[in-house]
Amino acid sequence: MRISVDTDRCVGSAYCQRVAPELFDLGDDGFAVVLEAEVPNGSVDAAREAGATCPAMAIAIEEA
Amino acid sequence: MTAPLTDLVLVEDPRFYDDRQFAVYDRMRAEALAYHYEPLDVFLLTRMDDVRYVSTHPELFSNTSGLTLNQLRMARDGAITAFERFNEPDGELVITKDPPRQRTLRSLMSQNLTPRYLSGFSQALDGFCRDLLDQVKDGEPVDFVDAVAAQLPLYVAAALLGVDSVDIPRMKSWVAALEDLTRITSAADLEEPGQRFDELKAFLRDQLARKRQRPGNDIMSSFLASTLDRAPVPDAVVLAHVATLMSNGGTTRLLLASIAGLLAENPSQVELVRADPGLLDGMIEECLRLMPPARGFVRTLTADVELGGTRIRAGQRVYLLYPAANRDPGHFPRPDSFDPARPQGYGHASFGFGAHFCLGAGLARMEAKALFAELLSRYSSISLAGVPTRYQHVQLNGWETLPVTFNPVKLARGQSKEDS
Repeated sequence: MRISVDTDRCVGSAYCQRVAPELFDLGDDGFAVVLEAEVPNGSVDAAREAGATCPAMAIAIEEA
Repeated sequence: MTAPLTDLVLVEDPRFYDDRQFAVYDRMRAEALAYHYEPLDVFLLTRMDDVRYVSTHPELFSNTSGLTLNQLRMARDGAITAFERFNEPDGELVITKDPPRQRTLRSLMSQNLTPRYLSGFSQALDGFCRDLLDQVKDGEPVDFVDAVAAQLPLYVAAALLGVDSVDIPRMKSWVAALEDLTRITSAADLEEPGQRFDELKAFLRDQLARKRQRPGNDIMSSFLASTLDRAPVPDAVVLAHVATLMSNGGTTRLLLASIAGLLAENPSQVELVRADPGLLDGMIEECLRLMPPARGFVRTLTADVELGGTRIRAGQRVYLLYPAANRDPGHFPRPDSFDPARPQGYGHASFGFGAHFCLGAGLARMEAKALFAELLSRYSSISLAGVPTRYQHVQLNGWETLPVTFNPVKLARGQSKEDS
């Protein structure tokens, strides 16, 4: 599974960071950055949850 | 309930929201997904999916032509021009713009509202919470709104803006004036809040001049160091956004009191959260879901769109009813129950979605978490000490007064307070 953040859509809600801190962080500009684009097996559910809860629908998930 | 919906959907009446609203939303979801409210020619949306769709398609649903039902009413009644003196001509308030300009303005604010930036204020915030709760005496009735909920956001706003706390009583009066401006119904009612609003603007101009001389580690100074269109941010833009940040202390006040009210109603959930502080975040989200501080916003269509089976034309409007979306049973099983462990916790609409997602959401959550973590470490429960009164407002939701008592944690036999 691969994840990416559409930086034009991200609004800096920090939901992804709360749901999956191992996969996402927030930069100094307040927008999300992906820490691990290739999602480790143990974080697949967290990645899906981050995608579903993002209030800006800015997270793209490519299922492997 | 067999009356026609037109007799029941009274969204311009603050009393509609007291207790009747939820049964009416259930009927709207069953009978008219996009309900045409004729008095204001606006379509009311009650389903979560529709609220999310509209919020995340700003190219179809614009923020530039009115945001509240009251604005639509004032426009209909021809009173809208009286409001114009409150708008700085070059103020460019972020919430009244669409992308891409909206995004440029938003980044001016968002850089100062990131979790990392705000974490620098968390010690000060914890101190404010302790100080406020120290002033409440165990077992003595107190109005939670006046004693706690209205105070905390003002202290936080003063710290963030770098304003002296001696100015807090005046800030309180200005926040009230800004709120009054959003619920008046005639131009004549503008005068008194208008005067206080003018005082606020004069105060902020004076503060800006000071920050220009002696910048500090605060949001106003940060604004002054930022650029917009490759030039220093115009004062009008700074003023409009600083005033917004201050007035949003109002929605935080409503949230904090709503949380206290829900905790008083749900003592068994309070026990659960005290036993497992990991549930505190979920508890705050559940309060946001059940009692959204802002009930909704208007959008204006830029093109013809079909929504909920209804063709809505360009130029017509939709109103996103957050309390309805937050209890959409298709999204939240058992929508009326208060459940801090709900897995859909963050899915509520109370901060909006998409481009205009609430800029202060992180700040409001941080304040709520700090306050109730401190409160639940000191007290085993909150009880109502009288009949609360609702804040009478079409758009804003919460308590005007909330009389409560805090019940101290019971000590085990033989244990004194000192060694607890």
